Amino acid sequence: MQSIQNVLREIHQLDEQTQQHTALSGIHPGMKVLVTVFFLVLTTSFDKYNLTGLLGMCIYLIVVYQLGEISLGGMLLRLKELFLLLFLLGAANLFFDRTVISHWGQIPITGGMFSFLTLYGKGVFAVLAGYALVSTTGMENVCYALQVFHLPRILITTILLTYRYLILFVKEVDRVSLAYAMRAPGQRGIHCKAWGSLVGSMLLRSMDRSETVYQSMQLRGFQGQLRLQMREPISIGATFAYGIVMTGMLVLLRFIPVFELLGSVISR
Amino acid sequence: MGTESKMQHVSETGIKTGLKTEIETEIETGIETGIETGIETGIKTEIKTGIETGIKMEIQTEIQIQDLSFSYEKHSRKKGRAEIVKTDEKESHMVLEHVSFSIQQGEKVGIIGSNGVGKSTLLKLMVGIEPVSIGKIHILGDEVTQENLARIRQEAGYVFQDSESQLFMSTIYDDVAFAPINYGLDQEEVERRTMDALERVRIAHLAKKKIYQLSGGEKKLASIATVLSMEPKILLLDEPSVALDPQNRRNLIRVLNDLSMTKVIASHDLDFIYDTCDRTVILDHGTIAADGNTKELLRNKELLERNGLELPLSFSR
Repeated sequence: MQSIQNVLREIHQLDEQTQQHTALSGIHPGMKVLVTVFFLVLTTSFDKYNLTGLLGMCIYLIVVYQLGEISLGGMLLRLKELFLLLFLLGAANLFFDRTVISHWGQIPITGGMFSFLTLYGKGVFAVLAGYALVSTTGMENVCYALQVFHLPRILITTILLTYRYLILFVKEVDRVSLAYAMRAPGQRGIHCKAWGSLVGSMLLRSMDRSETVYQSMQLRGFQGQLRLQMREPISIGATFAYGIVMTGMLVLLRFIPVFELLGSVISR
Repeated sequence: MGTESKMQHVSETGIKTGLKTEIETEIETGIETGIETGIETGIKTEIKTGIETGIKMEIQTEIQIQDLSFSYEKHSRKKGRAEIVKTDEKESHMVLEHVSFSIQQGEKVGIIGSNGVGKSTLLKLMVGIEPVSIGKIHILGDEVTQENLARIRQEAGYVFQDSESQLFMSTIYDDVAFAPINYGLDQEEVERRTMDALERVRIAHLAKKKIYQLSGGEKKLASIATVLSMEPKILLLDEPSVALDPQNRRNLIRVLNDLSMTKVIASHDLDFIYDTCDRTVILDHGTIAADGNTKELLRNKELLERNGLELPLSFSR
């Protein structure tokens, strides 16, 4: 029950984060989306054994988290379950690619180890970049940027409504599980016998709520496609400056192996 | 009779005949013209009166409900569509049965009755959330049908009982601006309408607040603002006073009384109806049990008890 409330609290915290005035506030969401997509493209373009090159990309994340005033440590803790999932997904590489490519003392280093770490690093960086984008821009503004880029309206509507539906679902889960806990004192979690009816009830209730929300949208002129408007003031100068600086930095990080250079400087 | 006198007689007869003919012709022409003018004037007057009456009717009667019956069991399953589906009334439990009444411009009407008598259903039918199955509803002269829904929903704002369902965007401003944006208004007009709606319900200072940061009373006012931004001519409110503390309730009454448009409020909070409505319709088992002046009906203990209601708390103390 506590964990569901934590999820709700975190969603609310994410919403509040978007309202903070930071160095990234006046930048057009379209530019933030473009830079993030550019980061993702460059990050995924690294060779599966190029771990040191990939690590250099973390500098971009550190800069964005600093500018957006987001706690990187808090974020890593918050998304720990997701990182564990990424770990499990990438772990298969350890078994499939057993070619020994190096030794660390007596321990053989296989290609699988490298490719696993690279893949895991790419996954973690992608998640952190996505989170930074949403928490500094807000889901509505991200969708507004997609609208500016002329992505199909139906796709944008689906993204935003799915986000809203997830919040509704979590709220319903919270209500149902709280109602259960109040009548099952001292019980840890939910008894397996109650799962079936509870899950059914949660789905039906959340669908019912979603339908009412949809009716409310229809009553206010919604005809299947959201129209979004930007209302926060945008600084054109800051937007272009951000775009140029970040793109330049990403290109440098992609083609100059920062950590290798640093290592060679230290080893001299 | 001499030739002279004969000639005189002939000329006199000629003159008389001539005069007679002329007079007759004149009279006939005059009558004809008179009739024509009369007919024309009559037609003109009739047309004028007809137009005036039509205009007057259109201006004054904002909601007209004619012989409305409804059942949840047999209507079309296509939600949100006002489709005419004729059903056999005897086959299913009717929520509303042969309900007819009209609401004039600027009236403040309370729909009261015990739980399950069809108050909310009646409001939902007015904006096409539930499809009209038997009978007709006209809103500002337009029949509630699928084709007219967009216009009707722009003119008649519906406020849900549960504010959580009404508010789905992240901030109050975004939620209130949702309708003007959807109606394709430019950004300046959207801003004007949004701030105006927020000011009318006295929560302009909360514009940037997140929905989950609001109290129950603020959520209710915000949900009314989401509808006011459409600048509707009619406001339909479903149980607006539910779950409000006395102070928020009083504040809501003040806000509603300041709004001059036609209002229809479905509620079983009789004190609230007493404070906000001039006219009250009592529903009982889907039919109209009484329709009249709020102050008279809500003082009639016998009538209220017969319809599963009780005197407002302020009277029974």
